[in-house]
Amino acid sequence: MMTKAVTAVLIGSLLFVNPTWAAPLRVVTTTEDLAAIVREVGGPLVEVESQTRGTQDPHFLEARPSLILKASRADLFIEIGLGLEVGWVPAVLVAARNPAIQPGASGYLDVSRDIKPLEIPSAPVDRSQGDVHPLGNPHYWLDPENGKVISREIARSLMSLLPDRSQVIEQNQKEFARRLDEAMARWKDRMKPYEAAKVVTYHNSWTYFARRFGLDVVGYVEPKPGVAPSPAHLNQLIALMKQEKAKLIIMEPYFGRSTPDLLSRETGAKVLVLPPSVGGVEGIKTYFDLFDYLADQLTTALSIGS
Amino acid sequence: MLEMLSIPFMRQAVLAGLILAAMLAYLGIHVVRRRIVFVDLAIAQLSAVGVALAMLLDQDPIGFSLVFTMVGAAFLSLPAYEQRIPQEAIMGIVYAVASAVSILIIAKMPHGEADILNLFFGNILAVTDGQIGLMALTFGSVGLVHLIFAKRLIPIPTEPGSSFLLRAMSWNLLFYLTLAVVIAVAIRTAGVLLVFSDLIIPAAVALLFAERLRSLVLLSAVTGVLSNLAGLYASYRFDLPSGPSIVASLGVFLALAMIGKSVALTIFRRSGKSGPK
Repeated sequence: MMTKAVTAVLIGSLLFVNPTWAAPLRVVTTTEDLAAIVREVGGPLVEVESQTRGTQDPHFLEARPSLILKASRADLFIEIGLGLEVGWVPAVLVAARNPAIQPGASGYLDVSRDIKPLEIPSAPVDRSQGDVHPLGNPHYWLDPENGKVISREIARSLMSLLPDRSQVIEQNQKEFARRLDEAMARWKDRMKPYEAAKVVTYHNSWTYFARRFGLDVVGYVEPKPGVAPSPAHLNQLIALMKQEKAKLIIMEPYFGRSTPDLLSRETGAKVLVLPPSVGGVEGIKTYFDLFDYLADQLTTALSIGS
Repeated sequence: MLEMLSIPFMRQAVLAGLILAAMLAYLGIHVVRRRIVFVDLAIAQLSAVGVALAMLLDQDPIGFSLVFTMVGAAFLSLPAYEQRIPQEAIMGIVYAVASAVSILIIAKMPHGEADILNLFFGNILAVTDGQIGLMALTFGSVGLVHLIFAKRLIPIPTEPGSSFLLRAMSWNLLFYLTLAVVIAVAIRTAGVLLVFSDLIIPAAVALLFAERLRSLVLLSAVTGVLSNLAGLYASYRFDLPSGPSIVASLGVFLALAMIGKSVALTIFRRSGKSGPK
């Protein structure tokens, strides 16, 4: 019975008949992290798909026809913003020709609106700090506190698109926030023994994570991805790592290993490859899985190092 | 095929692909015959230097890249300074050095990553109505110029030092400028990889079978149009990135053409007739 009804509704929406109340809202997100949070907040009310996989660098995407097709049929499009997806989202939105999800419409959501970004450049002249996004650092989903903010933003958009389901959505969001608080205590406990551990990261993508869990990022491997570090930078970094006794070099799976390996040979620090997103490693299916995995990997690596 | 054309963005991509394929297939004949296949990459990379410099100086990137493209094309049109260094080598060198320079400029920029330059290279799936209009306008004008001045533009300038050197140089300059305009517009629509392939591969196929200009242009254009259609269809059917699909499809066309030609030659020889050379 139920299946029949759902099938009828699905066929109905495929035929471009006005979707009835039971058809799930079609949500397209730029990253798996956003999709995971949408699933928490929307539950069965939504059908969500991410345009990038967790194993991909969300800065870049080679658009395939199916991605644009999905955006053209979406009711809600959600992006991280702060310039993270500036290389491809505008092109996808133009090609999708879907007025419902254009910036400004109720079906478009940039979840960075309520985030307090770190590293907003105060003076545009300082070039020594490496890669600085003009709007601030966009890797904010790696702080679970920001995950809460994101879930509130998503709930607000879902409620405006599904006003008669507002109560359920609000409940889901509250429940997600509560579970996040609970898990947060667990993650902080696990990371506690390694407070102020000195690490080097490949790029500035772990800033929010490090701040929340008390890691001390003393330097970056490649201040600008794609631009090989200068000899002077490497020299300084090696000296700094030795002086600060940095134990770990944290990098994403999609960056090249050659420079981190060189640093590891020179300083004895260990290279740790960590996925910054849901889906980055098999088995990380939810926003909670991601931080469980990160805490596992980091505590293991740091306990061996010390 | 029809299903693909019922989707607005695929329809636009097909339209853009056909316009690009036809224009580039024509110019490609001249580019391959003049032995300057790197001209496209050199020009693309010079425009990237313009973009990088504009961002460093906080200027308008489109204007800057246009100036760099035009000045670069004018420089490349100069006759070989030294006979022992072929024009081809110069083009390759310009490509390599310009790539390096754009990376160096980005290294000195307060924000920005090496891939920021890719923002100025287009993706055929995301082509806009405006871009199609611009292509129609510029390609139409360039086509007209080539039609009117065909006798002057098409001959390959010979050794420098001939008595009409200056005049030959200015026609050559016009050829390069028209080429640069087309390439500048094309890479903003379709990206460097696809434009290079659309320019060179159909011309190579045509040169396998034809000699006279008219048949060369016709064969090249037909090859370009068919392989672009096939590539876009494969991209749609198998959900692959469109640019690389078209390039692979061009590659398949060339491979088939080469096999076809050698088979035909073998048959001709066997039957004792004097086949095409």
